[in-house]
Amino acid sequence: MAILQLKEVSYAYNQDNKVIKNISLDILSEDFWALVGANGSGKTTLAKILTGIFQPLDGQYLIDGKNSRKITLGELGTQIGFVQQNSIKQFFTSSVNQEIAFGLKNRKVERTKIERTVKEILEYFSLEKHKESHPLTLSQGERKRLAVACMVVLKPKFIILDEPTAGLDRRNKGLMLDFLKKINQQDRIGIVVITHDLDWVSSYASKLAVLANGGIAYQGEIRKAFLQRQIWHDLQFPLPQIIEVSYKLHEKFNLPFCLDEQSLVRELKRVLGK
Amino acid sequence: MNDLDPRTKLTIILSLSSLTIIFDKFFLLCGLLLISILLTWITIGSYIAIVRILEKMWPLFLSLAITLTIFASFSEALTSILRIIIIAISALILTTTSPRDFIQALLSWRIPYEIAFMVMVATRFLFIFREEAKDTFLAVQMRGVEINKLKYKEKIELYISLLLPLVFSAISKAYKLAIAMEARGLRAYPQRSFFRQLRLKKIDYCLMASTILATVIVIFINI
Repeated sequence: MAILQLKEVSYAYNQDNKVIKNISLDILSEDFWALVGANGSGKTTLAKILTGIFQPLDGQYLIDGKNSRKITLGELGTQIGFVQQNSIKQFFTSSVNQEIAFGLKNRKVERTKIERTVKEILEYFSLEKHKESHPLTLSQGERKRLAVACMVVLKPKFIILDEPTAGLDRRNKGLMLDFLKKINQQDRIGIVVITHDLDWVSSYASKLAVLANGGIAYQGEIRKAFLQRQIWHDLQFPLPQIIEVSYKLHEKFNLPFCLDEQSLVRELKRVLGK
Repeated sequence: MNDLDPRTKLTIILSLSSLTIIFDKFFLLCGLLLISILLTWITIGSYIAIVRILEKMWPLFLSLAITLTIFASFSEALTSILRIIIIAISALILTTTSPRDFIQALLSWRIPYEIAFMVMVATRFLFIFREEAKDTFLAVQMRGVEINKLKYKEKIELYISLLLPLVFSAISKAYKLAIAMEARGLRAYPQRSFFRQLRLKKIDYCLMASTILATVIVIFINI
C-alpha cells in the first residue's frame, strides 16, 4: 500500500507570509480524501506540494518513505497524477486518442498495447465518440474526464485533482465523481480532491481535511467532521442542506446522523413507517 | 538615470541597436557592449539583471556559435553573438519604464495609439507566453516524462509536439484579449486624450542630443 506523508510541512511565497503552516497528513492509496477550505486557505498550494511542483520550505514530504526533494518531477509523475483546475493547460496533442496515448508513448509502451489501452480507457470514461476530436473542442465536463483519463491510463498510485467539479452542471458533476469513486474502489488509486464545494463530499469521500488559514482545522472521518459543529461555525463555512437537516433530526429526534439523501430518506421512511 | 524620460531611454536603445546592426567591426561592437552594460547598470542600479539575462541566453549563444562556425566562420559567430548581447542588454533599460509611460512616449513620436498599445501588449505577452510554456512543460512532466533523461532526438520531437499547442494557446489568448479590449471601448473614439503627460527635462534634452550626435559621429568615422 502506497502512502503520501506530509510531516510538519510549511510553505511561503514570500518569507513573511506562510501560506501553509506545519501541516501533517498521511494519505493512503485506498483513501478518497477531500481537502476542503475557503478561497485563499492554501488548498492549491497544498496540491502543488503534494504533486511535487513546490517543495516544502520546512518539514518533509515523503512518497512511500522517500523524500520528495530526492525525486524528480518526471519520476513523481509516474506515481502521482495531477489534474489542474484549468484542464486546458494539460492538453498538448490534437486529438483525444493521442492525448491519452501521449504518456504511454513516452514510456515506450508497445504500439498494439497502447491502442488496446486507449480503447479501454475511452470506453471507461465514455469518450469513445470523441476519440478523433480536438481536446479543446470538448465540453467542460468531457475535458475534465479526459484530463482524469490521461492520468488513469498511466496507472499512478494517487491522483490529485484541483477543483474537479468547478464549472460542471449537476449531471456532469455526478458523472465525474462516480468515475473518481470507481477509480478509487476498483483500481485502488488514491484520490485527493481539493475543493470548496462540500455538497458532494459526504457522499463520495472517505476522509476529510479542513484547511483554514494555512493549517488543518480538522482531519479524519467525514461523519465525525460534520458532527463537530464548532469547526464549521468557527470557519463560517456553510454546510450542505442535507447535513443541516440530518443534524437537526439527529439532535431533536435522535435519528441516526445521515450523510446523504438516500440514507436520510430511508431512515425517515423507517421511522414514519413505525 | 531611472527617472529619465522614456523617449530618452528609447533614443539610447535605438542608437545602440542601430549601430550594432549597421557595423560588424569586432572592436566597435566590444565598445558598444561596454557602453550598453554601463548604461544599463546605471539605469537599473544593479548588474544582477544583466547576469541573469546572459545566463538564460547561453544555450542560444552556444547553438549560434556552433552553427555559424560550421556554416560561416568563427568571426561571424562572434559578431552575431555580440550583437544579440548588446541589443538584449540595452533593451533592459526599458524595464525601468512603466507601460503607460512607454505608450505615451510612442504616441508623442506620432505613432498611432493602436500600434503603441500593441507594442506594449506584445512585450507583456512575452511573459505570458513564458508562463504558458512553463505550465506545458510541467504538465508533460506530470505525465511521467523525465525531460532531462530524454535523448536529444526525443527531446527535439517532444519540443516540436509542444510548440503547436503553445502557439495555438497564445493566439487564442490574443484573440480573447482583443475582444476584452474592444469590450472596454479601446477604439470607441478616434481621438484619445490623456491625463498623464510626459515632460522632457534638461537632462533628457542633453542626453538625447549627445546620443544622436555620438551615433552620427560613429557612423561617419566607420563608413
